[in-house]
Amino acid sequence: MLKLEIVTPERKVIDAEVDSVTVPTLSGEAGIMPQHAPLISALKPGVVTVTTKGNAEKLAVGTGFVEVSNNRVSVLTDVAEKAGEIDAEKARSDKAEIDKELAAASQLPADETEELRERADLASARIDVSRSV
Amino acid sequence: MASLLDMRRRIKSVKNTQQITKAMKMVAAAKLKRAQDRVIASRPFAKKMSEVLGSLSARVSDDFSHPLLEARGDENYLLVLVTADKGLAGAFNANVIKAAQAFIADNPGKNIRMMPVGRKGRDFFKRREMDLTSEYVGITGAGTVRYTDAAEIGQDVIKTFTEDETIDKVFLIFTEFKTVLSQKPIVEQLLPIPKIASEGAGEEAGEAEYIYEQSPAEIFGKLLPKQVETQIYRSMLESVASEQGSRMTAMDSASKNAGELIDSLTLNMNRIRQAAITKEIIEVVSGAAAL
Repeated sequence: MLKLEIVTPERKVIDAEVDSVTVPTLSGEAGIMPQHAPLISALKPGVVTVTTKGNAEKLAVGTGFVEVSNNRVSVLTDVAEKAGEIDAEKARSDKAEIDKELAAASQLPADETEELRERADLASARIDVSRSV
Repeated sequence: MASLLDMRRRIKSVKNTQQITKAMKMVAAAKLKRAQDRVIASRPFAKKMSEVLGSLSARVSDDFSHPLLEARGDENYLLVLVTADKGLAGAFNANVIKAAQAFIADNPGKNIRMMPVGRKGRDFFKRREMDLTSEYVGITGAGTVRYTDAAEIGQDVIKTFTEDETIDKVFLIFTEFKTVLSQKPIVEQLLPIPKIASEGAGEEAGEAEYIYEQSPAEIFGKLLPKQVETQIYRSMLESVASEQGSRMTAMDSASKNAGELIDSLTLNMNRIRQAAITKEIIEVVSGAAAL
């Protein structure tokens, strides 16, 4: 079993024993199972999947990082929302708006649109998670 | 001497005031409880954050540089002043504003600009024609702070600091919540980020080595702005808790004072009433005697 903590500055979202967890790191999706080697990695906005006894639960998370050591997984992030907490309508309209802004900013160098792309990723993650119920 | 009717009117008005102060006290107490819970809820994040930053800073090489760590001159300061949006909280706003003024007086000859968070500080320094870079009002009004608001302020501070090369240091002035009765305004340096102590780096060497998926320097660079945001978030939480605590005690003593005033007014009123009765009896008695 893995001990998983998902913490935002506002609250502890999850503090539980789980079987495995997948997190969206900067270098791609990373699956973490018990006995994982100690790891620190930065996260990009995306979907965290928590599996407990065959049940998968999805959460939308923002930027942050993950730390793994001694079968403890700590995910620190700006926002972490479960499916029930997401306003799917708002996420969709946000996403459309950000996509418009991104299209308008397509001429800019990549590092200037980084924030926009992060917001777009978060909006997509929210939509994705809200569909999972 | 005031008439009986005047006294009754005064007592009624003081009673009304007392009702308001009592209600405000209750509301402040409820908000204080929530604010304290939020302060406690924010601790695990802050703790983990400083742990990881500590172990990372031990790992990045000494010549690692980041715009938020670089020391610049010591001439131009930016003050981020956290006050409340509302008054009627005892000396809460006055104390933190005084601390800001003392800081300005202690640093003569420095070019100081300000970024007020909270209406009271904004109004005070705007009236005194302080150079304000930007202002944030109305975000602590409901007695809570959202992290997204704090993050926005943090990004604004970072942007101002990195883009405007004339700012050398950024200070954060806010009220630290100790107990309901004791709050202390404090000044902290926000940027450049003071050297992060790599605590426990020696002990950790014995523990398993971490795999860094990105280079420690890269993760470190990503975490530093977050650290600034969390610090601002914490200061706002503490400030809100202090504000509510301060309001609660202020309203408690206001209710008590109103109670004392009502007692003395009632005593006075009874005296006047008795005097009037006595007068009437004398009139009746002397009227009877004259017959």
